[in-house]
Amino acid sequence: MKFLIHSIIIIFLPTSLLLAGNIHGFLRDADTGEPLMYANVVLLGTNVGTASDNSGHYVLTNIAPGNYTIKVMTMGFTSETIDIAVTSQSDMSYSFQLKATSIMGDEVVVSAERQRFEKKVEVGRVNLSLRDIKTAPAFVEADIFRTLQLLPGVTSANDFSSALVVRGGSPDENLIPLDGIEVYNPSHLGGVFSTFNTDAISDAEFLNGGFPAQYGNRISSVLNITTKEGNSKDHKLFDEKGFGKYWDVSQLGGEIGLLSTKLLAEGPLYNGSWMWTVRRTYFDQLARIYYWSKDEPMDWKYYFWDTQGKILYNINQKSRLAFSSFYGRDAINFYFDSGQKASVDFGWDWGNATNSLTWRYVPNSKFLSTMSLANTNYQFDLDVDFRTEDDNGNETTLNIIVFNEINDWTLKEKLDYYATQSHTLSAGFELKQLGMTFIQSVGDQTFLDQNQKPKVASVFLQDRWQIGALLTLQAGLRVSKYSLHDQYYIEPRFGLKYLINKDLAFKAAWGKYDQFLFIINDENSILNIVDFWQPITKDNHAKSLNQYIMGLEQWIGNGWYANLEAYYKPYDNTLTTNPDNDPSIDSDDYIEGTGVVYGAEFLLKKSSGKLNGWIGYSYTKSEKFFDFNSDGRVITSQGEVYTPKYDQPHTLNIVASYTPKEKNTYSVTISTNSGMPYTPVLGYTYTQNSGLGGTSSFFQPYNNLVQINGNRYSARYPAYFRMDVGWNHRFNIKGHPAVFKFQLVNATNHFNTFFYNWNLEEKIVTAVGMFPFLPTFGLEFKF
Amino acid sequence: MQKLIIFILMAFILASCNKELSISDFEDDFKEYKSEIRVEAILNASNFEKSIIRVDKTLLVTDTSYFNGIDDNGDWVSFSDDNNNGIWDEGEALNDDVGVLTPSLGGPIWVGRGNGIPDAGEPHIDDFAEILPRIHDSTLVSVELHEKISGNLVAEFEWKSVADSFEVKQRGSHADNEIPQVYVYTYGAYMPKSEYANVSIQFGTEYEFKFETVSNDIIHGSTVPFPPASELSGDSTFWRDDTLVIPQNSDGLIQWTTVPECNVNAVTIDNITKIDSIENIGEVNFPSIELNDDGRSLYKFYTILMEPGLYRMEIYTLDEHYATYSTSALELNDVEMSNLRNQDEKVILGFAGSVSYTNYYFRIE
Repeated sequence: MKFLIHSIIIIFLPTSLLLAGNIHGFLRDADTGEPLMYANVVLLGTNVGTASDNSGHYVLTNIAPGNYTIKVMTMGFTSETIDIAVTSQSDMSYSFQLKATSIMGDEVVVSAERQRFEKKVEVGRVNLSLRDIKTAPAFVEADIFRTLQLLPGVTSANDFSSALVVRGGSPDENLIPLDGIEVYNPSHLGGVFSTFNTDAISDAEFLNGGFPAQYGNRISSVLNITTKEGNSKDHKLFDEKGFGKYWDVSQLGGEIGLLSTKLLAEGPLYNGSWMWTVRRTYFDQLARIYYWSKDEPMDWKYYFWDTQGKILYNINQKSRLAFSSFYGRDAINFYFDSGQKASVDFGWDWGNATNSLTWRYVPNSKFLSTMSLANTNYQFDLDVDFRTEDDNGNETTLNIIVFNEINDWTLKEKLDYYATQSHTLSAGFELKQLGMTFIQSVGDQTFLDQNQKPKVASVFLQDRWQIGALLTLQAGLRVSKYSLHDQYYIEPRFGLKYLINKDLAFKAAWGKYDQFLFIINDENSILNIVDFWQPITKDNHAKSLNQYIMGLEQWIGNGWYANLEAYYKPYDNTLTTNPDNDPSIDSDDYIEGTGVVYGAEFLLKKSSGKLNGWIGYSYTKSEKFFDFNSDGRVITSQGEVYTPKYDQPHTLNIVASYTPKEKNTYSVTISTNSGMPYTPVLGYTYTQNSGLGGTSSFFQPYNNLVQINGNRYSARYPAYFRMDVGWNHRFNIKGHPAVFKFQLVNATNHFNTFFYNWNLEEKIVTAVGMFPFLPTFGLEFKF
Repeated sequence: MQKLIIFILMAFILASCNKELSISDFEDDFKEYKSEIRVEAILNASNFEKSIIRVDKTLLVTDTSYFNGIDDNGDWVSFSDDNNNGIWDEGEALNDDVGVLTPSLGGPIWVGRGNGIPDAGEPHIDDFAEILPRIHDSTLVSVELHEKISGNLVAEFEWKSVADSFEVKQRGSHADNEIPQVYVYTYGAYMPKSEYANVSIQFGTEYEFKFETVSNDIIHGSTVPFPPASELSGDSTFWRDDTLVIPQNSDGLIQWTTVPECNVNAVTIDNITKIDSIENIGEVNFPSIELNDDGRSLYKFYTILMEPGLYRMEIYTLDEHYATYSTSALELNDVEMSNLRNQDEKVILGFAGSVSYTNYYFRIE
């Protein structure tokens, strides 16, 4: 009890420290102006110290009055010291700009990793550096999602999908904020490419479970992507005076690849910086060559483009505005003319558009406020025009439209309060106004016109409590109200980290998580080109689960790091499409079920030296329970207890890159895992049924030869194996740095089964494979 | 040459994407499975003598005797060797020896055309005329329909080797084999004995099918027939005698209703071009997605792409079990997909259901 009272006093009445002073500020790279993350800030001669966060911000609180020397250091940069005098109740701001040294960049990474090891409480946390992403062999181009899929606990459905399956959770359970803005469909081409241009990323923090109360409305993981701030120091076109004071270009770079080209530009802006990047694929142009080789007309095209930008404006030393924007679009078009006075014009495009304005305000050393207003819009637009012409030349047209849109306006605030050296409190709110539209129309008639506007309002409070030098607790509570439901969703979250010794930490977390939006794609479909997002209906409960996680983190030294975690995730509620849906009843479109996922993961990572990379192994076991036929029972023999499609019990990934000299980097990625489950075929029968994938006819009862299936997902494809190798060669083009990249995807041409296609009539089963052996190359350049 | 290299490169990559496997590679998946019967028992409430019960054996994936590329029933006709030189010459009728359209580098080609031997994929090879007689199960000891509550016998059924027929369009015989031809196939099924042909069926009454197999299994399943569809109408339409007239410049919408418990209709539309000339132009399972103001299930159909002319629309109203069986994505052996059980309450593939029927004429002008 005495301990409890003491704790309360520490939190709310730090009277013993009323005389103390506080210091805060920002750490930046002197050459580029970009923030220095996880750098050390210490008061020499004391045990007071901290590290900067991912915006370069640091805070030292409750320093007894006196004279001190602040030292700021991080590997790869010159250290800086400054003498200060702390007076009673003083609040001082000292920002530093550190000069880069010639020390290898990998040591900077090690330094940051060590800081994260010491300071971060979150379990299941992995930070990926730009180098991790860019040195791993890639399909066509470096991709953050593809790199994440090489981490333990993260898998993908297949080679063609960059969607993340995290600890057995479906891809819609991952929260993916880009500069704090939620991105709903973060992939192109049905998932082959992720939406995010790696060159524009400064930090990617991935929490594969047990994430704190500040994150909500997702139940599996958080991938928090921060785009880079433009280089505000270098002036390429103008000098710092005159027009250059307002705008200039500091760097121009890009990459020309086999299927896409991207450009990135950045530079200073008046009291700030700017960054802009653009990418476009040219599948359509390559296909044009193919058709040219066959002397055939090309009547279709597919491409995607995206663009991303960020503008920073420092209003004064305490306030900064950041505008961040992303636009991306996929488009498929084809035109079919039967030559018999009938034609079809097919247009299909989809994509994201996000914009956010973030105001960061640091009034003093005690508070850091981050408020943002964001709009994210995801649209799917299918437009088909049929045209017929009769013998008299009269034209009849019919237009079919399928349109799905999410328009999400979010206002949120996070206030960090550095109460004492021991306590950092964070509180905030999030107000989300969603506009969910789903339209299906034929001609003038609209069959479906759903326009829902659910709201989600959430508040959270969390405290990071450093108890002595060894134990850190993080406790939080998130309360959400979803406008279609009457109840309040209360989500407690706890995490702890205990340093067994200076290099070994025990960590654990428990939390409750709820989700109010989900993707309605059929679980059994082989490949989904686009996602159909829907709000949880008023008749259904939110997707909900608990996460129990514990693990050990070992800092081995010389850049070596090991992590071992075990987790247990019982789903209180999850949803899937109802196979026995009655089209005249709205409330039976989805059915609810439960599930469980548990497993263990091991990661051994090396972040320095000529040879670096990681080995990751994970074991996962998952089951789902659904009463598909709504008979009130869940029966295994009816396929109602089953291993979900994404289940891969064993996964092993080895990622290594070797840089013997500065000019060349050789890399290899080896991935092997258990085959995914499939539903086995037992026999065949003729049937009038049309719901099982056939084209049956009431009037032709033997038109449809369908499979009689065994238990759902009770068989497995052969184990997956893929080895990719890559070579990056650095050289100069007229004094400008460039990198030639060459990769062999699936270098051993191992056949990995995507799905089986049964053809009883021809007495064969065709195994459709994933990526075959595929050489790709690209050129990266900077000016 | 440049084009050839590009084409070969792309073909190599695409070829690496697929692999043909033997069915025996999957033996572990299906080795325990034994062929069973699938029953589709349909009570025709509008015309009882058209009630039909199709009983067929399921196919094992290992049984290669059905689709064997052999002319099992001897109805395949080789080309007409008019000059008796032993080979097919241009101008001679191909009959069934049309070959199989096969993809190739230079575009699709006919393989086995006029070679004098049957090939898999040619007309009358592995077709319904060969397969259906082999999968039919005509060995049921008894097939009866009872009133469920009273238990009274309503009708007995007997096997008819030609119970009904259906049409299939296929690229087929004779010279002009590019154009699909219509083949008519008959099939066997159980139908009411002639003395029960005029039985009157009451809508809303529950009827039960009972079958006894040679292995003394008693299979049963019941159905409640719904009344046929009614209230055909349209926003801009009007009636001329018994024909609904749809102005060509209207939205082309016509609609009808059924009892609210019903939500699937099967519809076929014929174009009546002359008094004695009918062309079927389409058929579809039609779900109702809403109720009208009177609480009846509403069905909507658009005629906007149809040519002006006179049409006949036949509407079949399916009972609950028939509708589920026709449209549900549940597995065939699911307890809700099939309402047929044996004496041990084991699920039998198929369903026992009913259908009622009406037809309308409409004219687009």
